[in-house]
Amino acid sequence: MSSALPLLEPTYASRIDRIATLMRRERQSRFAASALGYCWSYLTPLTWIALVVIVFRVLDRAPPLYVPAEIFVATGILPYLIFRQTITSMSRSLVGGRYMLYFQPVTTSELLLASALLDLINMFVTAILIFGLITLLFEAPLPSDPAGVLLALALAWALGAGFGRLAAVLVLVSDSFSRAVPIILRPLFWLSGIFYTASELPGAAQNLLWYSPTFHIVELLREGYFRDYASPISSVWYPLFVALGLALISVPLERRIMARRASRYRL
Amino acid sequence: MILFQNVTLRPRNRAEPILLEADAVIHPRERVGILAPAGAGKSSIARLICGIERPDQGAIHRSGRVSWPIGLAGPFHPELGVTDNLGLIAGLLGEEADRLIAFCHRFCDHSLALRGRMKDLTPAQRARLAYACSLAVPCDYYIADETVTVGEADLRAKCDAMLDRRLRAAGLVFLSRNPAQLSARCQRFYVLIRGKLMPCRTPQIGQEALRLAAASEPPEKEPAHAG
Repeated sequence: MSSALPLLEPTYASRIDRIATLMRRERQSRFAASALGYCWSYLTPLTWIALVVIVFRVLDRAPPLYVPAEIFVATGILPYLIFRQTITSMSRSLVGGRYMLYFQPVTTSELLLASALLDLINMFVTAILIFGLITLLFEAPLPSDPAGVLLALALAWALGAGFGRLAAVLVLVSDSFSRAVPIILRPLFWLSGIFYTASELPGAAQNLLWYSPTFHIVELLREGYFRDYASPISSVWYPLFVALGLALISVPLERRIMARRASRYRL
Repeated sequence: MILFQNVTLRPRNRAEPILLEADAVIHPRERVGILAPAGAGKSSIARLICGIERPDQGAIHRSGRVSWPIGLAGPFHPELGVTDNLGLIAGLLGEEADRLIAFCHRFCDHSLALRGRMKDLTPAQRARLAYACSLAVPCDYYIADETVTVGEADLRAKCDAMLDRRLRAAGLVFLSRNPAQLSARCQRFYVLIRGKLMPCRTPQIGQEALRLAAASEPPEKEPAHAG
């Protein structure tokens, strides 16, 4: 009979416990429908790098720096993918986790933070895995300035988190926006210096591409990774300001959407 | 205590506000029924009490833990395992996962495929699990949005027994359009008329008040006081 069931005592989770749990949920559910599961988050960058390296080989393009093509491509693609992945997962976090708000005092900020932190951890693991693998297999150099490399990767993540926060909020109100995000971001693949360096570009192109925040990040990463490379456009502050600006815009927007109950997603 | 102070809830997609400067109080361990017709905004009021929606004006003060609506299955992620889902809910509440899982498993007569995914459960199993889960966690107030028991007769008896045990140390806010259900469960009643929470002695009187309010245009009549 049910009266034999022992009742549980009330307990409360600390904010850190809640965020850790939300990260666990995000990790478990992100690839839950797929047999390979979480391996996808490492397979995706590996595949991308392999594909672009093959294109380099087929077109017989030598990297503009005196380094193996694999590491040149990896230093370009990895920050771009970290940026994109953080946006993708954050923009889904408020929709996918909206029912978690019933477990008070869980907040939307905690949902967003959990999603972003998971991608931060992912970033470290992926970077170590990929740079390590390429170093071992292709005798690529190790980073000459590890702190500079870390800073560049962290900026890629921060830029993704800033844009991701804004995207997460706008996705709540606009289906068109959520479809437009990949379209808006696609040109950045070509404008981030994945295939070229800033020093190679003519002055006019350099001046134009200066506005691409991911270009700065890729250049920073290569400056940190390759001893001899000095980039004409590698500002730490520009991508940081863009990231902060996007995140700051999202805060009043979120408040407005919540106050007007404008979300398309019902609870 | 849950205190509604001058609460206005005015969703933009509705012509009429759900609540208009409404006041109400729910004391600890009290069982309060709120009678509201279909489409009057019961679920919005439930979300308001749960604290995931903010009123447009006024304030809701809550002391103690308020449950999520009893039997709510929305938090379950269909692609995740049954135990994973329960473990996550336990983590968010600071509960021990093993104890929450054991509680739900026993409430479901050990019939759950604990190793399966949530989406592999039948709708009846899912409803039963959601019910068990919402009562597993000790709260100071339980919120029921129409659902107060689930399943067929024997399961309903078990649900009732469990809810009664919980309500020895907790309050209940039961939102329903069914006066008989409300009388069976609650001690004190409100009826939602034109955005006001009007106290009424029985939900049947509330029902009558709703009927009169619908028949007469001016909202000043307030027939609920006749009871």
